[in-house]
Amino acid sequence: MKELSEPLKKFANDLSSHTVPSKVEEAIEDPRWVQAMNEEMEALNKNATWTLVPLPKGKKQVGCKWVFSIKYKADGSIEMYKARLVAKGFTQTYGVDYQETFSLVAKLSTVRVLLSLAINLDWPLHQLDVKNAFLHGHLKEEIYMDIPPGYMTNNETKVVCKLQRSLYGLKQSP
Amino acid sequence: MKKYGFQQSNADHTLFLKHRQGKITALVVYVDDMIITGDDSEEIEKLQKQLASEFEMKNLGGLKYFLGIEVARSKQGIFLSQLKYILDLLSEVGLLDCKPVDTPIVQNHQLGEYLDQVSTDKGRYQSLVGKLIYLSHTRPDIAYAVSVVSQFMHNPSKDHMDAVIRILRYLKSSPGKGLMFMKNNHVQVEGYTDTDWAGYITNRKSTSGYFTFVGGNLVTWKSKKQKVVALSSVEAEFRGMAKGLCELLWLRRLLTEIGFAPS
Repeated sequence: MKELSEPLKKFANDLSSHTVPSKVEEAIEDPRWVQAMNEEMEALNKNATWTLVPLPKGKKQVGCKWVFSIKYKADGSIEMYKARLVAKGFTQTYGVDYQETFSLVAKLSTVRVLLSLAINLDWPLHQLDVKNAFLHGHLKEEIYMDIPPGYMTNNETKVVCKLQRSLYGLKQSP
Repeated sequence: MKKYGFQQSNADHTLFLKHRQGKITALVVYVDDMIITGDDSEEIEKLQKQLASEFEMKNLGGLKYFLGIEVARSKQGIFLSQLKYILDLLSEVGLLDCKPVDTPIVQNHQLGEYLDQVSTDKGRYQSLVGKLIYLSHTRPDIAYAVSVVSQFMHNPSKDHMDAVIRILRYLKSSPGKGLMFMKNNHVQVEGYTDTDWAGYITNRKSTSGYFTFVGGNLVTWKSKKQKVVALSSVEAEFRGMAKGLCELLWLRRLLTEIGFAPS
C-alpha cells in the first residue's frame, strides 16, 4: 500500500471494503466484520438460542459457518455489514434430526389482492419486520451444533451448543 | 396470532384475519416481513403493540420495500416495481450497455429441443432463468417468454440462451415497468383466458394463459404449457379456461374470507 498514491489508495480501500469474506479467517482481520459477527452473537445469546453442554455419547453435532454479506441501499451505498451464523443442515437425517419442515411463505397474489383492496377502500398499509425471525421458533428435536468459528474456547473437553431455538440452515428453518 | 383473535385463512395460510364490529384487519406474514391492512384502525394499533411486546419489531411505517419489491404510493395509486433487481441483474451479466429490444421474445420462435443443438453453460442458464422467474411478481409482460425458456432448464442450448438474453435486452428497454394499483371504487373480480394450439413444435402441446383482476387491478396471471396434448384447439381452449377458472375460484374464496364475497 505504501507505493500507492493517495487517490489510488482510497480506490483500493473502497474495492477491498466491498469484498465479502468467504472464510471467518478473512473476516476477523476486518473490524467491521468482527462487529457484525459480535452483533449476531449478541442476538443469538439474547434469545438463548443454545446452551453449552458436553456432547452426549451417541449423538452427532451439525457443523456451522458464518455467512457474510453487505446490504446495500437502493442508491448503491452500503447500509450494513451482516454476518449470519448458519447451521450446516444438510448433515441432518430425516426422522432422526427433523420430522417435517414447514414455513410460511406468502403468496404474492394475496399481497396484490390486499393492495388492490387497500387502494380501493382507502385502507392504510403498515409494514413490520421481525428481527431474527427464526430465533423465535422453539425446537422440538435435540440438536447439537459446533461452537461458532471464531468463538471457540480452549477447553479440554468437547463442548457443543445444544440448540434451544431454530437457526438458519437447519431443516427446521424456512 | 390466534390468541389475539385472528383466524388463519384457508385460501392462504400466510394470511390472518380478524373481523370485529363489521370491520376487518388483515395480516400477511412472509417469514419475518409482515403487512397489516384493514379498516379497523383501533385493532391495527392494538395488533402492532401486541406484536412489539412479543418480538423485537422494526416498524417500517408505510409500505416501501417488500421482499425486494419496491412499493411507491402516490395520489394515483400504488406502484410495484423491481427496478433495482433488474438493474442488478443486468449489471451482473454485463448487459447494462446492451442494445434494448421492444419485445421479450420473437414471434413463432420455434424453440424446442433438438438432437443437434449447440449446448450452453447449464448452470448459468438455470441461474438466469431463476432470476427471471423471481421477476414474475411485477412483470406480467415477460410471463410467456419466461415460461418458454424455463422449459429447457434441464438441457439448454445456445438458442435457448439467446432467448434468455433477449428477455434481458427487453428488460433493459423498460427496467422501471411494474404494476399499478389504482382506485376504481369497486372490488369486483374479473378474469380472462386464452390458449394457443400445439404451439410447441417438439411435442405439439398447447400453452394457455390467464390473468385476473380484483377491483380493476391486475392481481394474478400465468402462462403455462399444458400437460396433455390437446387434440383440437377447442380442447386446448377449454383446458386453459379451466385453469383460469380455478384461479377465479381461489380469488372468490379469498375475498369471501376477507368479507367481500363477489356477487
